[in-house]
Amino acid sequence: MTTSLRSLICLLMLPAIYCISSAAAANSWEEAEAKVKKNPLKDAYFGETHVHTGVSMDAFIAGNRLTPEDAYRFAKGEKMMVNGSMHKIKRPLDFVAVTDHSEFMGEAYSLMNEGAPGYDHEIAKAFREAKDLTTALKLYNQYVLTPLAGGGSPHPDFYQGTEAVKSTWQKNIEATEAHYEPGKFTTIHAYEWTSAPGGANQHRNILFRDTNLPDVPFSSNEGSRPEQLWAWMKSQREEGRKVFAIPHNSNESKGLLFAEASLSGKPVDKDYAQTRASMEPLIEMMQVKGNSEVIPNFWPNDEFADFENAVTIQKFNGRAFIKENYVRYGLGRGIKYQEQLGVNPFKYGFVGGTDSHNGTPSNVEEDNYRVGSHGLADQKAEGRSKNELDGEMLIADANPGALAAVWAESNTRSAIWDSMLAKETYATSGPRMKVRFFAGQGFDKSYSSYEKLVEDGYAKGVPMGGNYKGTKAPQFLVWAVKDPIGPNLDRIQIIKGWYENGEMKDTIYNVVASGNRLKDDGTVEPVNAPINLKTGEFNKQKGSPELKAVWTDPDFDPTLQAFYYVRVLQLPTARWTLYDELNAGVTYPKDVKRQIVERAWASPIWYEVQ
Amino acid sequence: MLKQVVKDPLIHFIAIGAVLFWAYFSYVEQSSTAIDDDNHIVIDQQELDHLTNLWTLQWKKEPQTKDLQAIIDHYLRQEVFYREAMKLNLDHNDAIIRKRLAQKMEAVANDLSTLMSPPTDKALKDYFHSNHSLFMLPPALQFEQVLFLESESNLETKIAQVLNTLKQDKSIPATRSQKLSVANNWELTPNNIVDNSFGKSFTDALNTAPLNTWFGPVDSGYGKHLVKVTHRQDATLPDFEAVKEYVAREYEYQSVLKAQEKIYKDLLKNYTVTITADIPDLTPIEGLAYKR
Repeated sequence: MTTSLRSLICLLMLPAIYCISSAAAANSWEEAEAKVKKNPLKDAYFGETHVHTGVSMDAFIAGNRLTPEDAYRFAKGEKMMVNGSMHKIKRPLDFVAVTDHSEFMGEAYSLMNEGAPGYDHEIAKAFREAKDLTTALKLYNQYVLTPLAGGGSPHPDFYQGTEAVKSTWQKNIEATEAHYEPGKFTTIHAYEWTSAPGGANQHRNILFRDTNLPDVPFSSNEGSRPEQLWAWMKSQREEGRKVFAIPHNSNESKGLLFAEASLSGKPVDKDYAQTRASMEPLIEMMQVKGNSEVIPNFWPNDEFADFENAVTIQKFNGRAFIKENYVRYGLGRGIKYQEQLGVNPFKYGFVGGTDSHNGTPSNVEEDNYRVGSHGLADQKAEGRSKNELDGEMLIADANPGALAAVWAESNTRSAIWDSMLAKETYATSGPRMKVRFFAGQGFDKSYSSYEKLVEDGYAKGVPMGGNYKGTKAPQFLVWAVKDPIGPNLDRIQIIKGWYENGEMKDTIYNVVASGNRLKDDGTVEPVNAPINLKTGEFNKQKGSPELKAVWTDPDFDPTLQAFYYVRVLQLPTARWTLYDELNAGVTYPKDVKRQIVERAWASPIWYEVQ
Repeated sequence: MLKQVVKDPLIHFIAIGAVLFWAYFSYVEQSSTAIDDDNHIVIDQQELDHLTNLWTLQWKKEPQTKDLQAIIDHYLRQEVFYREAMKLNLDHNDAIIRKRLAQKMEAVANDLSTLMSPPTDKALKDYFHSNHSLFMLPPALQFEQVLFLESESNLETKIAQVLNTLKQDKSIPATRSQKLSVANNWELTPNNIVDNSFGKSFTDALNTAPLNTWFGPVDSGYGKHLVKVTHRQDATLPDFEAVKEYVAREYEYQSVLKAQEKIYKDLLKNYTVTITADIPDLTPIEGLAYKR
């Protein structure tokens, strides 16, 4: 009713004002973008690439009534009513992509717009009126999880059809346009394609570069296999739209994300590899439901692998920990395909996200996780210390989510999207450290200033996300600075993977550490800087605010495919669970961590054998 | 308030539109079902198109002949029972119908109210001036900074030397340019951003530092700084024109939040409410003229 009324009024009487305003807006932001000052050395911008508002039906059932409009306001630092309390993030964001599920956008129209057809349907009412967790979970399972896993009807009875989907998507578009401030705050048109055949996560966030957008987003109801999504994206590109996809939660993919064959059973071939590489420049390294980099089970020699692994996901949905679920494996499998097919389908750069279902972009601060991220389930400390999250894991195992960082010439949609496509990005587990990473030849041993270092990096090398094209052992110029309100840095590592004699191999090099802790054998004396468990304070004496190095691969073999990515580790800080214990007086089980080593992961640089 | 609304030309525009809309809507209803008398049901092409469109949306395919037959059967069945029900006044005092109609009215009223108060410049200005606290710019600092790391050798001497150089109006040494990527020159920056870029103790120190002279060292999350605060601005009210779009967004947002309550209150005024039932300790409802 609401929208039809508005559009009729628009048709009947306000053509001059309402109907032309969107076209005018498009022109004006293009002009505004052109006016924004560019920094050729680029700046790091921090933001969110994965957040759900009340438009996502699962979020709605869990009590989220915030709109994309509200999410953008929250990202800009405004206090919002979140999950029953007034809440804000400490630091405003530079950019946000709101990624509501396309699967239920039609339902959202009926649920959220009073008077809309379907609004009064008994199921719609049950969704709105779900007041307690048990009811919400039951509905969630019946109407969200089951259809997404490919069972039962894709829509509840109150669903009104494609027109309702269009209306919701249009509302999201309008909010995204209204909040874009070129040079200050970037909003990105986006949504989530949510397919999980048999509970195996295949989800992807779809991000568009500009206002050339489809009428209806492609959902898993139209096609639940990634190949179908890519075919649709290809048709979008043929119509001039600029779009890419970011997969996430490979840790929940039951081995299907970095698979040997497509979901329809066809072995990965050159065509598949080219399509995937073209459609998917980035992968989400970490989010609320866990860090997908590595786990100790399969990387026992990685002393920092035990980090936000969300171990209890293996207890749900018939999932198990398998090596094929992890990003480091995927990168390795990618270069193996490079060797076999001449194309790398898993050539992924990194971003982080939250997947918050509270409409709260990048609410990633450990000491500010007061309202949780998934509605009623983790709304209060008491629930967090006991409940399960959406039938997927224990909440104590979840984390506030990760952050995406992009090196871009300006804070504009085009600059940020282009840098994402070029993979000049890194993920952090929440803090705002900055990381630079170049590969080339002829870097100086030291630089007199930061600007000189960066200039030389671009002049003599390729940045993160690029290809090293030399034949001599690559030199890596790596630099990191701490989060100004976080602890100092412990060390920088370069993780190398290569394909040799039919085997995927990887190893970790400690490249630089604070103090004189890096030994000749490449190991590092532990920093030993525990937090104060009574206050949550981190150690302020040890570590270093800045770390930098030029490092040459000592084991380079020009006949082997390889990838190199950076991991920056900071000193330990308190985990959100400790803040819950200190502030709310709850107690978490003994094996739940109270202290973590937060980190950044810079997108890889690849060496491809010519 | 009401007078203002009545005088506003845009409201006239919208009101005319609303009338047109309702007229159009009624016309469509009338012409399509063409109720000549209570016992005559006509299904014309327009009505059938409407029904088949709905069907297609739901089933995502074109209806076949047998589907059309079913659509018409279903429609007739509903229409017959609906008319009989109306004759018997079964809609009266039906809880579901009451609720549904009330919600419909609320939705219509909400929508109209947001459309009825599109942000005219004057309305926005009034809103801006009566809600200064919402639009105040936070206190801000403009400063230059030079960073030293705790790990540097002869730190104190170095700081003293650079301080001396800077006090003689010489430029910042090249080796200290953008150290750790942190800019040397900070244009007027809100205090909370300074907090998040250097740490709170740094902001506090700058807020008590002398103006226009190099000062320090001051501690931050990075290390030690020499600073020159060139301007300190208290919380200020920005120029309306500069923040007009933001005011409009805030206005619209708040209007949506308030609309429902306001419309209810306005409509409630048209009624006299008499509560004769016994409700212990009933708190009088604000703005309501009711009798007991």
